[in-house]
Amino acid sequence: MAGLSRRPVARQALAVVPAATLVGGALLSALPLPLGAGALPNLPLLLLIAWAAVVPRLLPPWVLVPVGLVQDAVAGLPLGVMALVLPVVRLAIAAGEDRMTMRGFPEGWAAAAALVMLGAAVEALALLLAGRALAPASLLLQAALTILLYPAVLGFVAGLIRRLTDG
Amino acid sequence: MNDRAPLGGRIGTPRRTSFARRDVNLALFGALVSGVVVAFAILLLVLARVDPEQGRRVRGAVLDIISPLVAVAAAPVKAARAVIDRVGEHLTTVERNRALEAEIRAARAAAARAAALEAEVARLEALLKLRRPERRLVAAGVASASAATGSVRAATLSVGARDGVAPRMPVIAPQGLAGRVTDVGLTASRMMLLTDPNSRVPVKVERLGWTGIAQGTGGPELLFQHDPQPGGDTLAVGDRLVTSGDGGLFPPDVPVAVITDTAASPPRARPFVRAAALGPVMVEAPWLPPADPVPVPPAPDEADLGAPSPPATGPAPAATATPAATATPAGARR
Repeated sequence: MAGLSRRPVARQALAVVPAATLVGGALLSALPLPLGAGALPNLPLLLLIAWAAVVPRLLPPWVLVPVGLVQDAVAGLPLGVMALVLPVVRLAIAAGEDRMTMRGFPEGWAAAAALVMLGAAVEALALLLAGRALAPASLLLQAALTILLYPAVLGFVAGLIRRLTDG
Repeated sequence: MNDRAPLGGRIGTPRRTSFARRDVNLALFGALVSGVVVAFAILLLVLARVDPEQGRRVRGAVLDIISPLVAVAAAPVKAARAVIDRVGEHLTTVERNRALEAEIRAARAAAARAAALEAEVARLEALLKLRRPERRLVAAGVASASAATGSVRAATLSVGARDGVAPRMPVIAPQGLAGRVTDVGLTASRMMLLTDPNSRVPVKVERLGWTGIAQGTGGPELLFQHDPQPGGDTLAVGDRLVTSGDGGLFPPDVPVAVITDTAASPPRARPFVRAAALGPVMVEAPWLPPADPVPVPPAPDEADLGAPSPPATGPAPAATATPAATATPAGARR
């Protein structure tokens, strides 16, 4: 065990760290900020997209169900909303992955925007299914903020991966 | 799962299984698992629709875990806000002082009139033997943490089931109504703010007496939903909305919002309680306790109110016979 190089350790870390950052993002959204009517970006969704952009095939859909449940519980949503949104977005990423190889940053951002909008649409459907009222304006505001934050979160994820793999 | 494919390929693959078939199998397996995952989430959502109580315990338990974290993180935010508020106060002291003095002169006159009216109301209520339900404080705590997601407007309360807090209870801040309790943990709970898109509060216009519903939109403003009113009165900007007490949950006459836009349909109102600056709040019991039926024989007919009409079918349980009722057959009223 002690003789292992750093790479396998990084491999194991890569199995845990992405999910942990998503949970951390959900908790971060629960922190008190003096924003009475504003919206915070959907950090777990954005982190999922950023992870998939940097290292494809991390975070399989079934890992995202417990992560989504944690986000639902922390945010006070009906249980199952983000547990549906995150896996659906992950499946959409998997479906588009083969076509989107060798893409540059602007294309990546555009793809992320499309995925965030997909997430917002699924969230709206899930809320309707759970019998909750919708606030389309704030959902769109949140989606816009999420899209704007993409470069920063992408940088965070890339930096994290560099630290994990370089040791 | 998929990224392990080459690894699995290295460990003893049976002779006949080609990589192509492996890929197909893996893809099938992946699709199956994805379908199960999505179906599971949808099932949870349907359960949440059928029984909204179902998620409360889970969310309450999570609240107990994260509320200390929230309290720690809230401290610097609160301190910074206090400093900003203080600086702002110093900058506007003179104007505010003048405005307040004018306001106090007007308020003194109003208070004198109100005191006289109050005494009159108390005297009339005593004559009527009116029983007014009392507001009962359950717990006092601190609200913080506006969880500003796209679809939920909520705050965390520092009191929970151990303090007697239960879902549905109204939450009242010094400035007015703040919202209602939704999820309850042992030591913390979550409240739905007035601006949540699911929030509906029965209100009335203090000046006109019109009743309606203050509906949250998810944005900073509320919609005042009301039926068109006959007569010459019109709603004006600055009219105060207070709780009407309808529905029995919120106590009446608690300030809710002030009308800001009458041109829009429905009119817009801004809540008195700013979600960004919640502080100490009171959790009260639902204003009207649910009726607890006890077996009591129906009231007998009043001897002095008209003829009881002996051939009438059965003892009419609606014993409040109005003069008009004597003209109609007793059976037709049921």
